[in-house]
Amino acid sequence: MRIHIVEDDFGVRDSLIELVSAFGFAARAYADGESFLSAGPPAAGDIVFVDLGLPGMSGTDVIRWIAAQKRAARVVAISGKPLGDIEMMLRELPATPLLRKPLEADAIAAYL
Amino acid sequence: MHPGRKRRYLHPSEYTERSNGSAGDAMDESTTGDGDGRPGIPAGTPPVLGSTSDARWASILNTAVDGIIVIDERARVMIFNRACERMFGYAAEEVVGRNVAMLMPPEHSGDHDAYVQRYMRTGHRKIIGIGREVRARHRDGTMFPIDLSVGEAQTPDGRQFVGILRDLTSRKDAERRLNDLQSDLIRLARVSALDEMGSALAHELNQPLTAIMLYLQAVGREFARAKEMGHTREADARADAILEKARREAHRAGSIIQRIRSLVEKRAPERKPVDLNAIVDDALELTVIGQDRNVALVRDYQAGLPPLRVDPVQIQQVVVNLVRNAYEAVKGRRGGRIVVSTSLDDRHLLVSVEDSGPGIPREVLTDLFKAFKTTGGGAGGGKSSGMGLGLAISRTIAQNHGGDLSVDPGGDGRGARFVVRLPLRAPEDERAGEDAAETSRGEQEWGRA
Repeated sequence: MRIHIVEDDFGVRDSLIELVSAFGFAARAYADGESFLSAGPPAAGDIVFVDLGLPGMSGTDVIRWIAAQKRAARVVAISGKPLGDIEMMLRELPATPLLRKPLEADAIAAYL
Repeated sequence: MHPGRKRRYLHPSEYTERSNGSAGDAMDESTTGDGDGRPGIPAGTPPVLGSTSDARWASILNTAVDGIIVIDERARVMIFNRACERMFGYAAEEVVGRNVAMLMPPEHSGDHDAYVQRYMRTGHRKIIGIGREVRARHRDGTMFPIDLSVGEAQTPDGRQFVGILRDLTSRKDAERRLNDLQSDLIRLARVSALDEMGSALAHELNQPLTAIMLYLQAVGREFARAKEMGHTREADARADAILEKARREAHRAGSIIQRIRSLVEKRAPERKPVDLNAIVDDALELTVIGQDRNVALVRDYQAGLPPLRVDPVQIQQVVVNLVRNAYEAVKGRRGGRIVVSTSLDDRHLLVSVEDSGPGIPREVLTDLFKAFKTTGGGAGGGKSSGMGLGLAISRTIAQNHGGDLSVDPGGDGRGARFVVRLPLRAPEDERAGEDAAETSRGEQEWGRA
């Protein structure tokens, strides 16, 4: 199983890598949706943490793309936006678990 | 004007009589030297101006709106009119015959006699014939600003000096109130801009807090592992590296808080020499928070600009305001682009904010800088109705600095371009500097007769 992190904020991205590695998992990180897509679809057992507020291609588009794969990876949305904005973004998506920032390590670990 | 001052209002006729009388009394006292506590006045002093019972002369003195003081060569008060009584809280008889220094601030009163003597000796004029704003001492010990002009009269009895005094307290109070109101308004505009940015700022703080939390958890895991399996140099180095990253994120959170705080906190406006590029860049860091990152923000700073003497927080406020307007103007347009540049002409530093929006419609342009006009204006017809106020305040700030804020409205495919022009040497600063110098000089010279 591999952990993918799509997050544009350097600090959040880097600390997620550190945390996931500390838990003993291999992590791949991407600063935007485009580079994540160009790396090819994640494996079925993988987990992808996707920030909803990405520059360029939106987080919801990334999640939709993952869900469209034949054997889709699991997705966890993360966001620091106000709840109203988040709900509007998630409304158009298949049921996706959401973690709000600031993130708790235990909440992340629960998905690993 | 001066709370707690005791005022005595005398009937004009009473005053007239007393005024003349007291002058005469002073003479009598001085010649007899009857030591009632007043400084002794040597014999042979010249008769007092107007001691001849000239009712017309007295009535002019008493009805004058301005304070009138006449002193002799030795700085003794000969005439202290009714307006002076109101201004200083002394009755004429308490002042006439005494040294005029009693009406001056303590730091100058001691030197006054020497000034008068020097003038008598050298004829060197410092205040005579010139109006000056100086401070005066009220009976209750408080100082108050007056406009003082001094004329000199040659009389058969020697030289006499006539001071005309105008109380500036109420004008000063009004000016101060107006200044306070303006700086409150300017600050409130900052607070309101940050209020609109509130959720974006919360989000921006969330990022480093998240990172710190996760880094610490990661270190915790490393630490737990080390406890079980023993420390290795590699594991310790890893933990140190992660802790360092956590510190860096904490610092990032701190600097966001600092930027916000500097804009929100109530503080007296202060001018100091600043690096324009640095404060503009700092303002941009705050402004881009939560803005559409697909908009290209180009920073085009001219290197090596001379330092500029401004209130940095207010100038940053102007930049924040203009750049936020620019983001509004390019909102929803493809290839949105904002260029923030600094430059120098012969006498000014310039900050320009140009957007790739639709430009500003002619009908909006006329009221663009007027406060409380909710034309929905702003750069290129943005949606925020608060922009008119922001632009009005931005222009006020620029003008307070001796500069201006102007706009090239663009249109026909061109976006709007706002230019803040700040003089390298603010005329207002110079004037303020001169004022301060003049006041202190003036205060001394009021002593110098």
